[in-house]
Amino acid sequence: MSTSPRKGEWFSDATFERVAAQFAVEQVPNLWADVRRRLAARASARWSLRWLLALVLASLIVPLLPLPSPAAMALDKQPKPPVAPWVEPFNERFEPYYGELNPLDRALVSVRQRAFGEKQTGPWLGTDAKGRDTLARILWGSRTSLLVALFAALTSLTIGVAWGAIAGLARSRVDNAMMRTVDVLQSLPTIFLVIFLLSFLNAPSPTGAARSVSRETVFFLVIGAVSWLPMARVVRGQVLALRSAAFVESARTQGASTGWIVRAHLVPNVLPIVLVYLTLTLPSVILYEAFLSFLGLGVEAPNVSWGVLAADGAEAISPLATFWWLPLGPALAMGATLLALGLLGDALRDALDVKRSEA
Amino acid sequence: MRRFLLRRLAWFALTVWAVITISFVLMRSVPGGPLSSDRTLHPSVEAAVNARYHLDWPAWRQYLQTLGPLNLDEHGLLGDRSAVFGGILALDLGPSLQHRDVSVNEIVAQSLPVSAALGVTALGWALLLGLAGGLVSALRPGTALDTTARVLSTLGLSLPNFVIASLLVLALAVALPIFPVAGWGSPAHLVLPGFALGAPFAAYVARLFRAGLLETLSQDCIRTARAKGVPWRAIVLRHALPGALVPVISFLGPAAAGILTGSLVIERIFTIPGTGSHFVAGALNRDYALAMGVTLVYTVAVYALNVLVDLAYALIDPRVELEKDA
Repeated sequence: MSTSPRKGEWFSDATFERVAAQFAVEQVPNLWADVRRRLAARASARWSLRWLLALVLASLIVPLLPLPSPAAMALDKQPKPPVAPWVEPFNERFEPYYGELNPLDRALVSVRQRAFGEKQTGPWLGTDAKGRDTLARILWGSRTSLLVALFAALTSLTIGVAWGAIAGLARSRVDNAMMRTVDVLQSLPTIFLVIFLLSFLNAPSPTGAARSVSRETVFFLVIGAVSWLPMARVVRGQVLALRSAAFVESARTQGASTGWIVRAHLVPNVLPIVLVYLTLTLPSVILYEAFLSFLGLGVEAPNVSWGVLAADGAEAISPLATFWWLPLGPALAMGATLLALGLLGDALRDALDVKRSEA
Repeated sequence: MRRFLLRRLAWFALTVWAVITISFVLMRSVPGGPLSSDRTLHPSVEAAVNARYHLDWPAWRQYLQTLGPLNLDEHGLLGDRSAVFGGILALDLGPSLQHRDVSVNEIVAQSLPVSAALGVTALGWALLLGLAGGLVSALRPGTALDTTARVLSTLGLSLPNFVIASLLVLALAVALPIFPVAGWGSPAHLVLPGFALGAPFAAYVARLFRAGLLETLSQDCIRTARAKGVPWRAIVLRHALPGALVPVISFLGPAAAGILTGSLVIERIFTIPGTGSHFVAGALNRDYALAMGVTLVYTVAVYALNVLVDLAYALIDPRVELEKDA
């Protein structure tokens, strides 16, 4: 017996539900399976993902690795050029000075000391003018970049998505007010205001007492404050387009509740564009951090970040003595990470078939 | 057209006012004030310094004097009636707090031409390399040349300008001493910083131009032109190019803003005495007047460039309606 409806025949409810169920089963899981397949088919996406995962893992377990401390200095020494790992794989000169660490890292460092003792890797990527190991500093510095990226991702996903979605769903007056706010915030020359703001917090307090807000807190707040704006704009645009889409209107005429429309129609259709914009936000935020740290307005010593390392490297360039490993190491680390994020974003955009609109 | 300009002017005034007010509130809310230092000054000296920079006035009077709608005189009173406006409304950015006896106006006037030369060089590099790369890619899609151009543009987009600058100096100033490592004065000093500053934008221009050209070249009018025997060169130059340039031109506004921002870092690396390095030095030395003045100058520059780009956009593409976009 044939269940396929013939031409000119009305669908029975049962047929309709069966067809709808078929579509529901076929479409939803297949989108993500499809995306996975398309990403896996791209060598650039595979390698980007591997690099990023390795970096995240390394930055998490860096206190456990038998590396020299990133803060231990040897002031009388000149910068040492890199020594190949097979020439000097390890030495026994570990100095357990790390500056201030949070309790978790302190515990990890003590585990490292028990496991490896005085043993540490040789200067595989050389040392800087203060005798600090470049490889250790690059790996510890990756934590700052990744933390900033994580924070920006969280603000984009919470404030940005919520702001955009509410503006897109709300009636015109609320929408107008919310988007004008975004407009004004975006038209401010933020980088200048940020530098301006951080410069105040650079000032020594007159009483010599510790300030109630540290510069790093403000630094994170500022990055959070600017990073959600493009996301809000994009999400609003998408929600507006979806709200008047035929399938949403038909759901509404069938009596679907707003909650159902949001869950079944808006979220799955907004998610791809949010993911794609996240891959655009993360590199720009990592760059932002590096830019501010480069100018000496980011993290404070003994903490390191890639921007600090790049600034040290740029300072070490002189025609008299070439310490080429100092600029090269952080440049390669940052370049590889940003490239990986960019390539992954491109692959994701193609896989999800999101058109890039100027936001 | 006039309505567009008026509306943009209103937004512009609002933004500048917001920048001034935010800056002023921040300045005032810092404990200690801009002139406090590690040394404690004698109370009489401190009073004299405070009086010199009007820090002893109440906040609202300082705000009025900085903004200048009433042109307050030396004593914060409505005495001086020679001009309607004073302060920022009369384009007076006030005295620098760190460089004694030099006004912010003088610093800006001295350093802006330097920064402008750097910015124009960077924009020139961006357009030259970006348009050439995009053209080559789009005319020979899928070839090794296209792949090379696209890999280079992906690299340019993902490397920060200070990394590009460091690598360039290592290669072309230290290893092969072709260009000077840093400094200012001769055209050779402009090449490396201009390139490092313009490279990310060249990469983006190349992408935009490639996509634009490929799209216009696939249109029916191009096929018709080929069918009636128009030479290929004329098709590309006369029919495809103007359409493909539209996205590039609309990118020039953000690109100019980005070049201004990037110049903060590039001027520092190459020790170029431009406005950006003065701004960073001012911010680091707590010279708030200087930092605020430069912020304002940059805000105005970015705004003016954006308006110019919008006007150019409307001139090239007759479909663009200015009033709707504003």
